[in-house]
Amino acid sequence: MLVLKSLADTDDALAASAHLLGQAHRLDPAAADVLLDHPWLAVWAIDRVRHGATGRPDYLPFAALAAAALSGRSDAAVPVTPRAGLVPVPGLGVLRRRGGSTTVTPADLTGRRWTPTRWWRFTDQSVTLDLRVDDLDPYRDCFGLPVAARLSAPEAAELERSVAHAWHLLVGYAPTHAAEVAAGISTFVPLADGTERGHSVTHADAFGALAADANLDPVDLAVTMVHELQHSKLNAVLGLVQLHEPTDPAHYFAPWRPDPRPIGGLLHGTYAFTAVAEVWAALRAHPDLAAQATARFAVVRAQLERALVELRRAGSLTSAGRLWADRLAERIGQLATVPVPASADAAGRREVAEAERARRPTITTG
Amino acid sequence: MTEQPAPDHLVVVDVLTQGLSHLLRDEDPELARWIEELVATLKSPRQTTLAGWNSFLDPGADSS
Repeated sequence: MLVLKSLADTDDALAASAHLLGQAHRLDPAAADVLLDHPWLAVWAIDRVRHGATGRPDYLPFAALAAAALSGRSDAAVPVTPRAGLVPVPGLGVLRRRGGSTTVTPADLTGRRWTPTRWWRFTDQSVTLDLRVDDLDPYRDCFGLPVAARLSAPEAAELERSVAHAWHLLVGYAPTHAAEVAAGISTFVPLADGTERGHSVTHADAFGALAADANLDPVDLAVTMVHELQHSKLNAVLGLVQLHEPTDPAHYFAPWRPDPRPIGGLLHGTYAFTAVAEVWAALRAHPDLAAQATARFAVVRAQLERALVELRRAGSLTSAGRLWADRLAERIGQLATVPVPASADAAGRREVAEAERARRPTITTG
Repeated sequence: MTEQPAPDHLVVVDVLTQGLSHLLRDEDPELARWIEELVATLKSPRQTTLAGWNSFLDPGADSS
C-alpha cells in the first residue's frame, strides 16, 4: 500500500487507478486485500518505483478494473492499455482486446473473449488451501523461465488431482508447514514443457507465487510448495533486514548445487532445505513413502550439516544474519536426532562427500 | 521526492488498519518520510540485487 501511495502521489493516471482500488477497499476490504496482495501487482509496482517505467503497460489500471468488478460497479469504465492483445484482470481472468488504450467495464468481462482464472480450494482436516492457477496473465512471465500457455481441461484436472494429493500429504504429515503454505501461497504458475523436469522458482518481489513444472508428482509438489515458500519468506525478511554484507566476494560450497554460491544463495538454500528436510522426516511415517522419505531425508540432512559449516565460516553475516544462522542450526540440530538406518545415513553422507570432492576446487575462500 | 541513503533495517509503518482511500489522501509528513525511506531502500543496490527471479543468485541459476 505504501508503494502504491508513492506511485499515486507522483502520477495522476496511477492516482485515478489507486483511488478505484481504495473505493473497493472501503466496500469490501477482504476482497481488495486479496487484490493488493496480488504478486504481479507487487512485481510491477516495485519495478516501477525502481526504474520509473517498466517497458510495458502499467499494471495498476488492471487491478483497478478488478477492483471495480469486485465492488459490483459493473458500469465503471476503466482506462487500460492491453498487453499483447490481452487485458489481465488480476485474480479474475483475462479479456482479449485488440488495439491500444481503451476502456473496459466489469460488464465486459464475459462472453467468448473472456477467460476466467482457475481458482481451486482444497480442504483437508479442516485446513484449506486456496490456490489460483495462473496460466493466463501476461505479467506472470517474471520468473525468467518460459511459462506454460493455458492448460487444457485434462491437464488442469491432472494438476488439480496432484495438488489435492500433495495437500493431503502436507496436512496429514507436516501440519505446521501446511499451515504456512495455506497462509503464504496464493498462486501457482505452470512452467512450459521443456523446462528442466521438476524445476520450480520464485520471484523476490512476488510473495505467494511459485512457478513450477506442472507435471510434478504429488510428493514432489508437496515438498516444492514448502521449499518455494521458504524462499518467499526469506525474501520478505531480506526486504526488511540485512542478514549479510552485500559486498562479500566469497563463494561457498552449497551441497545441493553443482556450483559454489554467494552468501545469499547459501542462506536461501540452507533455509529452504531445512524445511524440506523437516517434511521428508515427517513423510517417513507414511506407509508407502517411508523408504523414499528416509533416503531423501538422510541426504538433505547431510547436506544441511555441511551447509551449516559453510555458513559458520562466512564472515559476512550481520548480527541479524548470525542470529538467523543460529536458529537454523537449532532446527538442523533437532533433525540430527531423527533416527535413520545406518545405511541410509551413510549413503547420504557419501553423496555429500562425493559432491564436495567434485566441486570443491572451484570454491574461493574470500 | 529527494533521494536518501537506504537504512540497514527498514521499519515499515503499519498501515494495514487504515483503508487505502484514507492512506492515499494522507499528507502526514511522518508518513511521507516513511515512504521516502521505503523508496530509498527499494532503490538501494542491496535491494536491486535481490530483485528479480532468484536473482540473489547468479543470472540463469535456479533457486538454491
